[in-house]
Amino acid sequence: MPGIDEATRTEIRDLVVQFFADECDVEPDSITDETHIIEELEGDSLMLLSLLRKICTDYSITIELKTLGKHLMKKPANTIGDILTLTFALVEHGDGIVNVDL
Amino acid sequence: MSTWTCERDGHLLGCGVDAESIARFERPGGTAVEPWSLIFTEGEVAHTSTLDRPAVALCASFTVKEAVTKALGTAIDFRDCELLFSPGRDEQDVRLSTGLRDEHGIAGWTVRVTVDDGECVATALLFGRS
Repeated sequence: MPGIDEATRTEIRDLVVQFFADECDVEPDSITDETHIIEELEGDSLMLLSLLRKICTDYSITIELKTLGKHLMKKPANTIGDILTLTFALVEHGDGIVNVDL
Repeated sequence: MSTWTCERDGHLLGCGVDAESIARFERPGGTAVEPWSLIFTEGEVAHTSTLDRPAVALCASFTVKEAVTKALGTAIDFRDCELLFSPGRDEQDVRLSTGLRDEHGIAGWTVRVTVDDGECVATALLFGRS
């Protein structure tokens, strides 16, 4: 992804994994890109909204919830890997994410 | 099991149902990072703080927003759907913004919320014009 350097990608990855580890009370090392958020971590939509709020705050991003929702209807985020792809695109494109073909 | 009947002019645009656990809304500030400003209007937050059990009202409101979203079959800005929760009532007065109504051709709606066994269940029926 040309718009985000490797250091930022690593930082985002650490943030996302630690977020779900804290929220779901699991060890960060047990979370991989293939980990299913609902089936394995018992995550939910409220948790995703909390992560979105954190990402938007930490990276000074403005995005309409409706925009993100439309994107998620096209490309559902089921695994940690899906969330990372979404988050990288969110940090890179902000509100323009709805036009991004992941 | 409860039954629910309603009569409305206009065609049914959609029906959405959602259920959420009240406990999810009872942690101080919600989750690790509170997402409330993405979900609730200032009026909803102010209203829930006047109630004995704010978590029930927050849960009911979130459940209604999810039910309306499902009824429409597309994403919405949750703040375009506002519920000032009335405890003890099944049928709730929900406000849908003018923008949301115009965008989807919503002419009428009926929303029911039941609170039981630690969870809220919302059913939303949305109607278009005749």
